[in-house]
Amino acid sequence: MAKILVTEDSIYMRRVVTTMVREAGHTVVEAADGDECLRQIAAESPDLLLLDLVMPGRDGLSVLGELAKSESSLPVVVLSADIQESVRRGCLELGAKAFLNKPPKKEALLAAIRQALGEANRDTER
Amino acid sequence: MILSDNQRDVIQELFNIGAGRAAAMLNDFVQQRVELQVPEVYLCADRDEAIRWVQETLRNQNLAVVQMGFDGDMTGSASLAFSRRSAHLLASMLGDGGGKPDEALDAIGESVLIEVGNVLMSGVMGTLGNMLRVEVHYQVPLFLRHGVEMMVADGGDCAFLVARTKLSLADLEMEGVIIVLFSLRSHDAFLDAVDRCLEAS
Repeated sequence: MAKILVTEDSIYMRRVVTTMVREAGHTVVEAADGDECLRQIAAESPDLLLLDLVMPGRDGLSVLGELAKSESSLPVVVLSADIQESVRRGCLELGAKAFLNKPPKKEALLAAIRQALGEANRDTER
Repeated sequence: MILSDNQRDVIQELFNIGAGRAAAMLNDFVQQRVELQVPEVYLCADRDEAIRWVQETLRNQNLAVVQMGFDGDMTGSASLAFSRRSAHLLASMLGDGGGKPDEALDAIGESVLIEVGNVLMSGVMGTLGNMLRVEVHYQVPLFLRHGVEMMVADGGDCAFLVARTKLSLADLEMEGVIIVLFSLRSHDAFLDAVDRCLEAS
């Protein structure tokens, strides 16, 4: 099981997502905005990042940009209410492994996490 | 600034499709059938007229309102308003929160409403953005604590295109309204995109 950093400014949505992830047996670390997310990545070394986009302060796109700049291998799954194709494409171009829309469906979320972790493990073995 | 019948028709239809997407998303949250009224679109000559229109739409002042500003190729704000009773019901269904029905929403209740608003309004605006091939950038959604004047940005000399649709969940006796206000200036990117859509049809 993996350590997953859930970055989401909504208390409610953070609770929904962390419950789904914990029930699948993963450990959860939380962040409420982009700056806290980057601090938690440095402090907790998570295996995967679940990332909201629109947040106060540093937003999700900025976090993705920082991770791309530092050539981080941390797999990222974006979970956003934004349904614009251009935004989805932009996130994937910045290195996100998957882009899911809210409200999250548990099966789809856990499948995206499994796939992103699997891809990350294969990348590490190469 | 005059909005042609064809432009109004395109906007109303795109808003209708966006509201349908939002209704499907609300259905995902609550697992209940969501019904939509036919959307209405108006052009308000200035901010005062837009404020009067919002006040007339939200005659019931005992509302819980979430607002999300947007900019990019379209500028304005989207709002989701529920009666207090509906807001408390939603909060208790989704977040085990809400507080007492005759009091203000608690923190969890507000968080539920903000997130539902975020998803629904992004559904409406994202649909418009995708279909018109324009980009929309969202601001962080807020729980509105002040008067409806706050829903209408003071953007200087501009007209407001306003759209609304009412949604209801009959089984839960829950009602809400989605309101979108676009700030329009001459040679507006949004209306240019509507014209391109018309030319392509």
